[in-house]
Amino acid sequence: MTLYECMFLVEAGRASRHWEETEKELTGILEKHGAEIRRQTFYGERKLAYPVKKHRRGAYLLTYFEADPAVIEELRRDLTLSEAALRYLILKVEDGVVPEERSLGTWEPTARPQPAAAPETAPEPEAKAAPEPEAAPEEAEAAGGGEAEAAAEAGPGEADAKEEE
Amino acid sequence: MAPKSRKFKDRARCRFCREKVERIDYKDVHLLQKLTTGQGKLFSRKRSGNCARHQRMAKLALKRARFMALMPYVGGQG
Repeated sequence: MTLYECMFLVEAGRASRHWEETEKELTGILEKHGAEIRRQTFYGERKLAYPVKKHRRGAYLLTYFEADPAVIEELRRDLTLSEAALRYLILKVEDGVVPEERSLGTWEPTARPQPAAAPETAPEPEAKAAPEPEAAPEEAEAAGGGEAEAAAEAGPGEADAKEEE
Repeated sequence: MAPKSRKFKDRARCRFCREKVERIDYKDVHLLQKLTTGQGKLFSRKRSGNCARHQRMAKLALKRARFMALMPYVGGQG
């Protein structure tokens, strides 16, 4: 078992409206591959440095988990196929210790979006269901983007070259 | 000649070496902003005074931050 850190980028609208499902889906994928989650920190919504699939804002979930290195490749494939996260970055934690929860400059760990907002947005899941089939073709792009992610963990040298593209 | 003062010695080293930084975190956007130009390009070693090892770490951290849309690939807030 190796300790990994994984950062998910979730589009802001989905994070505020369907946070619970989103987190459940992401956590579910990790656990499906036998990952043991050590700590999860939600870093609230922020403006993205550039639009990702037309989304200008996004929320981040930082997860530390232990998993068998052999399953990471399959894990990546599942995460790429999932629409819960726009992007993810899995890195090996080199010293093998889960770091303390900390603020990152002005970027603080935040409480998760309240499910209390769910009752009023309850009718929306149907509305959301409709655009989802359209969203499917985007998966192709997602798979393309996935290469950079796959490289990230491989090794500092190779990761550079690919991430740069 | 008198030995170099401690202050001078400290300034001669890279900022990360001085603080004995072992790794640079891609999530530390504040730090990365200090290492980049307004256009989001990483400062040269000449400009930032980083040693080779820490400049490599900064490079990798910046590239990871860019991938996660924490830092721009090009242009600042524009």
